[in-house]
Amino acid sequence: MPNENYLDRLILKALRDDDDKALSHLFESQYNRLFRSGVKWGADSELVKESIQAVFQDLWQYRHSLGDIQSFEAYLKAALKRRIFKELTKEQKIKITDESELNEHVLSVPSYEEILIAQQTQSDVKQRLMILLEQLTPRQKEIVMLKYFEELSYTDIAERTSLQVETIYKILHEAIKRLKAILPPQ
Amino acid sequence: MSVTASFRGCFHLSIHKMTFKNTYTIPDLLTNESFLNFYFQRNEDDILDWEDWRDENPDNEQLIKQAFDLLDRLSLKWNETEIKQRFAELKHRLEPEAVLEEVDRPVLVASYWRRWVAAATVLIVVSLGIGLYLDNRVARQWIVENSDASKPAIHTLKDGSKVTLMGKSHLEIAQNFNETSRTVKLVGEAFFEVAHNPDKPFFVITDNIVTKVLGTSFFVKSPIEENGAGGKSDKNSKAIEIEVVTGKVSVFTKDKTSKTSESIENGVILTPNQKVTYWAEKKNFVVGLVAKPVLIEKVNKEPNVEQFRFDETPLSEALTKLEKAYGIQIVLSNDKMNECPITANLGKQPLFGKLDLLCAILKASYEVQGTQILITGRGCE
Repeated sequence: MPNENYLDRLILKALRDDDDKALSHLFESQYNRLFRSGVKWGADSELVKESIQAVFQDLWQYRHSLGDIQSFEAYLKAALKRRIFKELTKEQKIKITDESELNEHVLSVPSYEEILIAQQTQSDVKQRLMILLEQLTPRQKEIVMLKYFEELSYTDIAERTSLQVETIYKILHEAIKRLKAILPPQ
Repeated sequence: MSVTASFRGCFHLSIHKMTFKNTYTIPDLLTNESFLNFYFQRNEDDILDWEDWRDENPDNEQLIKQAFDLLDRLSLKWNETEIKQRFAELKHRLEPEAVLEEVDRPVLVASYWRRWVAAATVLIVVSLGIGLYLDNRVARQWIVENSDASKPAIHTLKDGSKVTLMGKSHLEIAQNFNETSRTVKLVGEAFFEVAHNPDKPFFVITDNIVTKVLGTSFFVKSPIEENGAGGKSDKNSKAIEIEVVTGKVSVFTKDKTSKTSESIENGVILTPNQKVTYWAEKKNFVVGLVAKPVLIEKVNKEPNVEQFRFDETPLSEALTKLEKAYGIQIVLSNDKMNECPITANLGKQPLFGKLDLLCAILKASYEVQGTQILITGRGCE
């Protein structure tokens, strides 16, 4: 398996050679990771979307003057953070003065729900999902988010919610039983 | 192989094989930590185990697919189609460079386009940082120059054509202009409204590129390099770009070493909403679509937006309407999509907005391939 660094070097070279396939590869492989970080920094999903576009626009525009990038994942994440910090301070949504203080935090359940619904492209799925989410208890929604978006282990969730691992497992199992109804019929 | 019951336990332990249940449901998988390690690619052993399980039979594979689909949604991942669309948006922003690389050979436009002759409105964007090159075959009569950077200046040519020269631009007019043909050279930016005369075609020369206009009006734009060297010398300074709004134009290179001015090395014919970029270094024409295609009938009359109101219209019929309105060929990857019924009002959006909506309805995606748009999807029930 080639190491990440080797891939990053190849991508850097390809970008400098004006190969836009390198750009599409980076875009497609990093998009979700960047989006996740963006919403965790407290930006709404529109701002994150727009900022990711701008970051890649800059990357292509300045591809001939790029420094020695060791990791595109880290590079793009830092560029996105800078941009989101700038926008958030412009909108005066945060009080901090330095972007290094902009930390990832646990997403709020309402924001999670909002993005989850917005991401469904079919209107019937959107509606079904809204109904399903209404039927879930706040506890179920919280655990679904912690498990799948925050990617926490059962033990982590137990610490955070003061519930037993076994209880969490049961709550989650129940929630998924309902939520699987948003999948297309087989 | 004979392994006695008493050894089986040790055997399993030694190769670290996990035991699977006979049946799993989606909630079982989504609450299974090992399965989640597989999904999030967190643990090599779990990945290998579940991959083996997946390969055991098609039912397992189908179940994993469903589980991943649900996990993608719950972990707030944008789906592949969505990301590809975003990338397409990015490419439009990166015009002119990014889209060009999709086609890397000259493309000659098929005769399919011939019916859109009529008047030509041509937008030519020339980003060539080369100083005024005097071709001795075209004796210079006079130069129109607009040194005022802030506003355009309008000039009327002998044949009645009008040229609006933008700031810091030069226009050279041939001695024999309007005798047998109409030839001008341009460095900079200008808007041309050419008097219609099929017997005397109108040529715009920019370095070694010739644009032949068969209709009435077009726009030319190029940054000027000051004092021959230095000045604006950005990365794409070697590319010439020509965009066609309506009408028809041919663009070709003129072989400088050749004695005859008719010598055409290679070239392309452009029709509405197409553009070409010529890379001087590679001597290469690349044809693509403009970033924002417009309705080609707009110049002559008010566009009929009602024609894009569809009510249970078969997709093929709806696409034919779009093809005619924008003069762009739209190809379906799958014949099963032809009959998909479309109910939507696409009157107000630009072309790519219309396609976004269509693709959302069809659960399909589209991409620009050269001068065509390809729609990929499964069809409908």
